[in-house]
Amino acid sequence: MPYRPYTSSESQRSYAYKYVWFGAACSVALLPLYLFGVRGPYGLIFGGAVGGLLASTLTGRADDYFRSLCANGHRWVVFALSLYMFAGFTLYLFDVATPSGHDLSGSSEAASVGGMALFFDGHLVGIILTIVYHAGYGYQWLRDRVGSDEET
Amino acid sequence: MKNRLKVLRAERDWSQAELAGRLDVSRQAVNAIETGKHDPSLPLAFRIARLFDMRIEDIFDDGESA
Repeated sequence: MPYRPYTSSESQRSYAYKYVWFGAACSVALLPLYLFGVRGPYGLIFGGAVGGLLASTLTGRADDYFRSLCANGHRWVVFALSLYMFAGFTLYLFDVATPSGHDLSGSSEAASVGGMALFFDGHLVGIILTIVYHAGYGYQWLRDRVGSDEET
Repeated sequence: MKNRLKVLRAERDWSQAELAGRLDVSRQAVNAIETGKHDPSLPLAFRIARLFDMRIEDIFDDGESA
């Protein structure tokens, strides 16, 4: 291959892929740390997970295959968010502590089923959606490799 | 979408990494295009066509041509 100045190396061209895998590892590690309240390495791993997410949106120099993998991850996140919102809507509707739930129940006694409390932990939801993003990205990446004879 | 990228690359004895370098994309992108798992964007399709000095429709087949 002839010498061409200002040509980026394979490592430079595929840097975004590496960031996302690093972010995936961090986001998976983040969930148990959060659930068990481990605080030591939490900040660093949290930063890694955020970095992976940012790499999926700041794709200025990444190639369009990388963008298509990210787009699949984003689709998975929106789908998961839709399910989450629908579940919240359902809980809200049947929670007799809410005005609409109270009206639906036809009861004069306001007694919350407590389901809404599950949906108040925004940080946990964020971590789970980050994992879902990486799952969508990874699924597409794996699917594209089935039956391919990729050179290493 | 079917394409002749792998054949054209083999004719020139280029590796996937070398083709990726010439197109300024990652090797993973070249692999995904070759296997038909990913359709390149229009700008990338033009770059591929220019690199091989061919028309886009001579490289990519959407199954609609007669």
